[in-house]
Amino acid sequence: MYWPSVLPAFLASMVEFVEALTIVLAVGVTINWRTSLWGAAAAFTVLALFVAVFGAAIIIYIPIDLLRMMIGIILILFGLQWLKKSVLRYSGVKELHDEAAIYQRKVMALQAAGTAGAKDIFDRLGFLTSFKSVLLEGLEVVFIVITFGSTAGMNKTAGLLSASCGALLALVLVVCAGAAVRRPLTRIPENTLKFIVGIMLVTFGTFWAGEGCGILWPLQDGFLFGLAAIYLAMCAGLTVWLRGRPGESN
Amino acid sequence: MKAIKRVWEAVFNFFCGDYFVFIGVAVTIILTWCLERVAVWRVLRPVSGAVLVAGIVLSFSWAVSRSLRK
Repeated sequence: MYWPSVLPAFLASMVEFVEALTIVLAVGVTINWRTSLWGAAAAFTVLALFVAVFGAAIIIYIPIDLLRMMIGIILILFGLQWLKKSVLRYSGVKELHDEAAIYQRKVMALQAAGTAGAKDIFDRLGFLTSFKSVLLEGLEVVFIVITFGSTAGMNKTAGLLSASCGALLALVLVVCAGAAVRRPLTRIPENTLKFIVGIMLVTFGTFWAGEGCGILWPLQDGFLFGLAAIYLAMCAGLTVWLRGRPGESN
Repeated sequence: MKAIKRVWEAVFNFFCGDYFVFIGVAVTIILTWCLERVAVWRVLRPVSGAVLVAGIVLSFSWAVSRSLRK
């Protein structure tokens, strides 16, 4: 088991699964569980096919250095996107991400569309809503698993298996929690989780993009902590600066 | 043409979502690669890591400050 692949894949996947589960639960509660679960199952099938085709191709054909650079760049861009939202939310510029509010909005939208309450009938809108959310969030998980799995360590297959284990563990945990509460997982502090994962994505992205370019980092893997500290300081500094701006105190 | 634009926008928004971050990171990576691989530039190789991190920090700060103007 390669832990530098397992942990980031687990945390990043958990964020995506929580988002997908919110929609699946909203459809299940307002329309019916049959429609919601069929939509989720169909999306999982499409995702499995995607992984089978592209996961194998990446492992076999692409040299590790090129892969590290490309994936590193994508991770940096992906991570900065999350960090930007987190910084803007922490500083009060943007509204905090609230799964409960999203859940309520989705329920109201489905009720307004006149699809709520039909407990046994297969509903096309409900199916598509569930399918779309699981497919989109699942694609992000696939991307996370492939990146963390195929770039970490020298053995791509072992890395991919480790990252898959991390994502699978996150899926099991989120589904169990969802089944237990049957409502949005508001107890998981998603903004904080997203911020931490954003830091991890940019940290690993910088490390691998640098290695792909040819940089030999001081302390080798130990420099990951240094990079994380730099990005934490960057976000803290920006948050303080934004909070201090006139009219932004929150 | 519209279809290509839509696909590009979907892919771009999925992976990045901010042109300022995209441009900043792209320029930083090209600069870092040149410092590591181009013979004339290699004299500055010891600072390539610092250039990469500084470029990312600056790009991000630029994008955050730009988002306030919207």
